[in-house]
Amino acid sequence: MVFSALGAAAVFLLAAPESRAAAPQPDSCVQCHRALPGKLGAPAKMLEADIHAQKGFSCVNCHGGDPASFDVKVSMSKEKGYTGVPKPAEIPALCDKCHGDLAFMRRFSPSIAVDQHKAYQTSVHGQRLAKGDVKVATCASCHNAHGILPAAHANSTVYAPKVAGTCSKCHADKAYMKDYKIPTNQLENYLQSVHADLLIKKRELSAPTCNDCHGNHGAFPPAVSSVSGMCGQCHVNNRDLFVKSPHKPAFERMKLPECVVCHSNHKVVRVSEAMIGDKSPAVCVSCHAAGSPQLRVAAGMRKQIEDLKSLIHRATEELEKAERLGMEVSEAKFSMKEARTMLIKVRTQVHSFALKEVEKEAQIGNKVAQGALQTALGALKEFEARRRWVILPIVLTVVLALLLFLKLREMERKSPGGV
Amino acid sequence: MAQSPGNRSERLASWLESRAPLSGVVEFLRHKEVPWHKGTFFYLFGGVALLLFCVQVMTGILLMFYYVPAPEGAYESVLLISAKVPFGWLIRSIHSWSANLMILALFIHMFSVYFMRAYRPPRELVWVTGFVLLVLSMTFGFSGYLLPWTKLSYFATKIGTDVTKVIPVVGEGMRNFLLGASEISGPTLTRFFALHVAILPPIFTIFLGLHLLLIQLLGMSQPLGQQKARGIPFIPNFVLREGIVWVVVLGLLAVLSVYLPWEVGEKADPLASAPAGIRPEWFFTFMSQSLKYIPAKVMGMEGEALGVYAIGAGGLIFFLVPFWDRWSREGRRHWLVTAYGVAVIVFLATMTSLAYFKPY
Repeated sequence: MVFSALGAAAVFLLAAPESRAAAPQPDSCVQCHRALPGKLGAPAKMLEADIHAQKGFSCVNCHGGDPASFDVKVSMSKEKGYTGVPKPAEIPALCDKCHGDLAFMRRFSPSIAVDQHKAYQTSVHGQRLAKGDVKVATCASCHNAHGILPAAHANSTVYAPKVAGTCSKCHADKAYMKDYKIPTNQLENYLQSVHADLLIKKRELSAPTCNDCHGNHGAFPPAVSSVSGMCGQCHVNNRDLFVKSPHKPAFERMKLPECVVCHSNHKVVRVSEAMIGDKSPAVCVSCHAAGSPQLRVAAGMRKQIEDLKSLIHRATEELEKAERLGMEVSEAKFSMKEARTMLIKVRTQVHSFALKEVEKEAQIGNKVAQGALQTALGALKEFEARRRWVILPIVLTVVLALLLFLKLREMERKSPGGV
Repeated sequence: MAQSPGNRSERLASWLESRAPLSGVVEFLRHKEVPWHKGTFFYLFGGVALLLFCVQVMTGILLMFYYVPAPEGAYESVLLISAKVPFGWLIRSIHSWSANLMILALFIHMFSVYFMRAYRPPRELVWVTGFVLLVLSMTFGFSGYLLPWTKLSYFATKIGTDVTKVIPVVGEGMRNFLLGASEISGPTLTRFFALHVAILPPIFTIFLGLHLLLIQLLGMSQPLGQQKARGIPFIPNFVLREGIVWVVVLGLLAVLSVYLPWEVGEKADPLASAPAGIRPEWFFTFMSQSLKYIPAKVMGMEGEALGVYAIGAGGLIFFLVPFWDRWSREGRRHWLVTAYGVAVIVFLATMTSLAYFKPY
């Protein structure tokens, strides 16, 4: 009896996914709907590009019915399992039928995640949907209902550079978001950020968009204390230095959102030395009082960065000058890469808010840049020395040519015409 | 009894003569004369080219001590020569400048011979060997350009070797033979190096020897229409004049090498896209530039192929001038020969200038 039950269960588990795949041919849904105008025809026309259709799925896998029958009363009958258009509240569970089944999904993509529905249920969207708010996003809101493309496809609505646009379809719509009492300027701010510049303009796909900080299926606003962890996914060193710095406990006490205090959240602009120091527009002055020891540290850190930056600038200029003059300075030019890396490290070290540590890193960069500068100056000096020394062969040449000319003239004077 | 100095030198001369009987040659040079007229100055450019060839040989040998003919080490070895080897920068710079000045001297020499009709009988073979020497010198330049394995030289050589494709029947095979592979790579560099230091020098020396021998045997050409121009002794009058020019050229070479040292540039990267502004060495730019103006298809023929054939035909006509200029044989200066020479100069000068000042 037990064996029979287990056997039946096994048959069911193995057979169930099979029944979800490969829509039978001919497919009456596609053939009839393709001929229909407007909304009724559009899904059938979009099916060709859809990732599901490419893997052998069709309308029947989500909507039920009998695609083998061309009689609409049969093919779209309840008896044949036709469910019609799913309601928003039903969509996550419907998608999860396949996307939550690891054994089934493994056949198409061995590394695909199957926890989207679980994650969705923990999201603000999922929680509100569970409470009956049908305005919130479900799977189809972001991925589309038909013509679904893989996330890596450049035309997909969830392709990284397009994610901000997809989220803002709702989140930037003041009227739509009116009931939720949250800002609607996230997209406007994000588009001014260094992240958007990299991701959208320069197509640097590792730059973050909405889902990288908020989560995608489990979208949730990050807690104040978890901001550094979120930014630290990419900015690892900055995070490590920040969590050990005196700012971490102070911000916790004051319930300040860590990185966001200085860098903002959506409008993370490109950083510059101007952000640090004891005078406006440095962000430090918005919390620390004028003349305070903290602002002296900030000014000291700013000086370290500016000194190294200007030394690198000068060394680069002199190296280029020497190179233009044909002097060989490629090794020194190569070492400037290290100096520039050290400048990045010094800027990172600022997040420790410890002047000594910043000075330590800056010293290494200064040493490298100074070495390159000396090489450049040495090359320029050598070039000048070469120019001076070449006077000698020029004088010799002129004297020798003159002597030969005089000899020739004397000779030809004695014997006119030289003949 | 002590021997007088006169006796000693006579005995030494006699000792030498019995072992190296060169008194005939010395006697020949002592009585050799060079025609003296308004074009004699241009005769000196042949000597200048000879001097610069000697400079090339000497500096080339010095560079070979450090140069590595492989893609993994060629560029680095040139950097080493320029930065670390004592006076390496100077030797390299002299080698590069001397090569260019040599080609320039050869062009001046060739056109002066052309316009003076010095190729007329019996000096046709002097002209032929001289023309071959110019072609060999340009091949020296072409093969040497790739050796530093820089981005510019890599792509310029690529364009240059691609041109051979348009030659019917043998073009593709010739390109493969030159490259040693389907694209410019390690074998190409090795082949170009072998061509530059082992194949071309002996061939060049043979033709140079022939050229000089024929000049000595036939003497320098008399101006057209004059049976016997006034002459000056080769030694010392002409040699002293040549000496003055050599000293000036050496001074110029020193100034150019120091004040305008040859840049090393960036290392070649076969996977990178071709940089903007690539062009071959200046003496090949006339060809690359003129090919740019020819449409892709001309009367059903490949434009590039047509351009190469046209330039080749033009060069062949120029090369064969001693055989078609029947007027100079009769002592006459015909306008057609002058016009053709002027047209060649105008074409070369225009295309070369455009390549530098208005390449696109």
